[in-house]
Amino acid sequence: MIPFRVAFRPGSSLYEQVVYAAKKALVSGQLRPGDPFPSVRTLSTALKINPNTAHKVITQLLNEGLLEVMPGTGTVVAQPRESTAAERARLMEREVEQLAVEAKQIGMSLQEITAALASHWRRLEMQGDGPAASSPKGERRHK
Amino acid sequence: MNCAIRTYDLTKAFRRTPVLNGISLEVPAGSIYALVGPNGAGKTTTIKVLMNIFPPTSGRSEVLDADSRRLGPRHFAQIGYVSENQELPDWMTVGYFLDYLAPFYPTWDHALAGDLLRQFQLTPDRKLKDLSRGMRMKAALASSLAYRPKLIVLDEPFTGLDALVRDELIEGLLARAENTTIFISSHDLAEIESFASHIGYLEQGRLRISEELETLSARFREIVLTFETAPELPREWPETWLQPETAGTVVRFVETQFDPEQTAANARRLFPDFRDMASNGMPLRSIFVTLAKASRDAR
Amino acid sequence: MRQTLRILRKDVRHLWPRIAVVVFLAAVYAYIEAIFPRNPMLMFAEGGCGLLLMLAAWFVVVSVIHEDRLTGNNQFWITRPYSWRSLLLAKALFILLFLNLPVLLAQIAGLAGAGLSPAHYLPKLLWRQLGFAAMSLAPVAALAAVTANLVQFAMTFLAIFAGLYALFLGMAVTVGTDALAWGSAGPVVVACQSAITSLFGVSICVLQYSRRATTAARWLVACGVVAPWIFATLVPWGAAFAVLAKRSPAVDPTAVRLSLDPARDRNAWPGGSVVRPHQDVVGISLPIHVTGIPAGMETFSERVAVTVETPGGETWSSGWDSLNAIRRSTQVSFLSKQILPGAGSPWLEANIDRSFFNKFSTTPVHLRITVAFTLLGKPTTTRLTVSNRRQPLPDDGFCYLQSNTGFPSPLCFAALRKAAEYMVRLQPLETGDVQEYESVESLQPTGTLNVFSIWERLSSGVGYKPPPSPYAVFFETRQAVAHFERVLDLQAVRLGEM
Repeated sequence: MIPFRVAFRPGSSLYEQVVYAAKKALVSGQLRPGDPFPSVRTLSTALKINPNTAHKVITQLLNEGLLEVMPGTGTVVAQPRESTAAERARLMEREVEQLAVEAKQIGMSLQEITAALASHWRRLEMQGDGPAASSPKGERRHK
Repeated sequence: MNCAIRTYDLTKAFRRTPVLNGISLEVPAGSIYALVGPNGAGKTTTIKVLMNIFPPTSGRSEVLDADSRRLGPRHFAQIGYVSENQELPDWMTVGYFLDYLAPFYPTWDHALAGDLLRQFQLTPDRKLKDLSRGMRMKAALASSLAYRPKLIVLDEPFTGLDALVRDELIEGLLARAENTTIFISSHDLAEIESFASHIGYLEQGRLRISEELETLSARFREIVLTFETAPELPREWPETWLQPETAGTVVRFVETQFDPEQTAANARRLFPDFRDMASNGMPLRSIFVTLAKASRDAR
Repeated sequence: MRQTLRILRKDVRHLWPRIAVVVFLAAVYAYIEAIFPRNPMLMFAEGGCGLLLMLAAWFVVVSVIHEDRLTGNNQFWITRPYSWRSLLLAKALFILLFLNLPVLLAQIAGLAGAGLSPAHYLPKLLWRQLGFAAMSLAPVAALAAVTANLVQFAMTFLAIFAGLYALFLGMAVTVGTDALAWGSAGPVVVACQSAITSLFGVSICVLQYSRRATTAARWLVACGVVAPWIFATLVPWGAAFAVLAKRSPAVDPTAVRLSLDPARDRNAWPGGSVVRPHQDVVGISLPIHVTGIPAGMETFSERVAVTVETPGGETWSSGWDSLNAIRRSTQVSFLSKQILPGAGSPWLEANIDRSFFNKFSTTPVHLRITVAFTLLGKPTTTRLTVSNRRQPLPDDGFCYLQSNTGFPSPLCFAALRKAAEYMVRLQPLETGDVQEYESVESLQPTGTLNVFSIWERLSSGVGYKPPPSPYAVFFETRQAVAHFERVLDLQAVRLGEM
């Protein structure tokens, strides 16, 4: 089972999308330190991607220190570092871009979209606290 | 060996009907190369020439560094070939089929064969003729994976199979795809889009595209330009823009050589006053529909 | 070759029921062969069982070749590491083990069951198996190799059969059946045809297995079907006879001489000549002597070639004509061609083209006559009595002499041996003429559908009209011991006088 979800978007690199989704899961705490990370084979068969791609993804995550290899156990989630604001901004870049483009297309102004965003934010904070609880229920990809 | 398959201007004609018109492609070792195209484009013929089932009319092809016309037992011991039209010895049971083939392959792994049977849920004592189409394909695939071939060639493996069986086939294939080159022909783009590393687009015997999927995806974009007022349309559209359409204050076209700055600059040159430019990635299916339409309109 | 054995075992695994049928039929056949000497009325059962066995053998050949079909492009094995040599060898081995071997064993069992020594006949049996494999199994295998399934095979086979039959009918109508009567030279031509057929069979198999070049192989099949018959049409009879003559004879024939008898009246021969349809010829006859025939032996003319040369340089040649012959009586049967030592005044009959004859009948011409002779050795004679008992012949043969409604009819067989000539003599015990009835195997080729039989028929089974008084029956066979040519060269003779 892959403990994070990848929604494939056409037109951008598969590798980047998987790395992106994995990083979000790691940064947001969906994967806890010490949890085993799926192997190349599992990643490849579960997501139906090329094993070479899966291999590149894991290598990249290892290089960035998000995963580490434990002798005997395999690849596991590493201790998280504190994510910087810049890193978080980069992770959300695509969604923010999409929001901005679509808002602009229908003619919203910056104030209007900020107000809408703030309204949703407050509602979420009232529903449950913390970033862990904010991942919507139905999004876990079961495999 | 850095290319598992290479063809040089491969041509094949049956009697006087040309089917392949000068195909030159390269399949890097370890890649998953998908040969796609409409029915009758010549995909099966290409594969049969590569497997030395037919000889080419002219041109050459190399498979695993050997001329495809000289493929012998030594080479076939490292090649797995699965085709929807292949005739299997119907009287054999699944188990006997695998046991029979095993001694032909020095690298046959009995444990792996057993795993494959289990994974595909094939009972060893069912006769091949009693299997459904999907199970036959699974049996054929199992019999082609059990010896860890260096090259796996699949000719339309998903035709006529339901989604679950397709899934199982792909999983079985990808599970053993490391250190293997896979060459797969299909007219089902959605299935292969997620795992192919290279794409070849065959149309009427000609290879119109043969490149890495990433670069292909990167250079195709659907561009939507929004205007305040209906724009003046140019007399001539740039060569790299396909299927241009316009409706009111929106102009839409497919850019085939997308570059964020260059495309924007070109758009600006033709339409100095567009308000907004949106560039959307395209799934493989849309890319090929666009290409097919463009070539049909060109005729 | 381990691959060969692998494929062989796979084929056995699938085809064992058909092999069992062949083995069963072979066992039944062995039994029939063993009890045949005691029950000759099983002749038809023997023939029928032999035919079934042959068909079953062909069916198995086609089955095993089609197990790994060569036509088409979708067989699973053409992209597997099959070595074509192993595949072909596996099929050949299968045929050898499960067709040739059972038939051989059946023949051996038949001989042993009949009280004969298989070891003595083993060379002949092995030679027969070679013939079976080369002439029957190889062509069937070749046809199977270019067809996709049993139905296609059967239809092609029937088409070839029908085509050849039509060909023979056409030849018989146009050229005449005597062109196909090759006499003693027949086996030479048949042996060459067999070689041609098996050569084509093997080549087609090799071509298909090594390259799967189905179209080319099919053309080869078409050629292979007609080639033996084109050969038979084109090869001159003289060449085939020369092959016979070259073999060292069992008896030295150099003493036999052909000469003209000048003393006899040239016009004393009343016989007319036998002609073919559409032939316009004039018959001539010459009184001759054949001297030097060894005691007890017999000679006859197979064919005669006549060449006429005029002083002006014109020539006419008849070629080796089977209608030209040396005869001792005017009967048109083999009996009249029999020349025994010192007996009678034989005549040489020949046909000359009428227009040539008319032109030069009074011109003194050079006549060159070449006669092809076959010498038959001393006879083996057995006296038979009318009864229901089996009567032995020398050399592992046997006879039954039945008298159906008063007409004695001998039924004689020998193990794996044919006679060149057999004669049935009804000799009155007191006075009266001896009645002789004969047949020469080589001059009347009898087709045997039954290639497996170890019992060769020596007699025709016909009933003969007996003499009125008490008589004894003698059954006589002879073997050919020599083949040779003799020339009669006559200068300055006039055709009109003959």
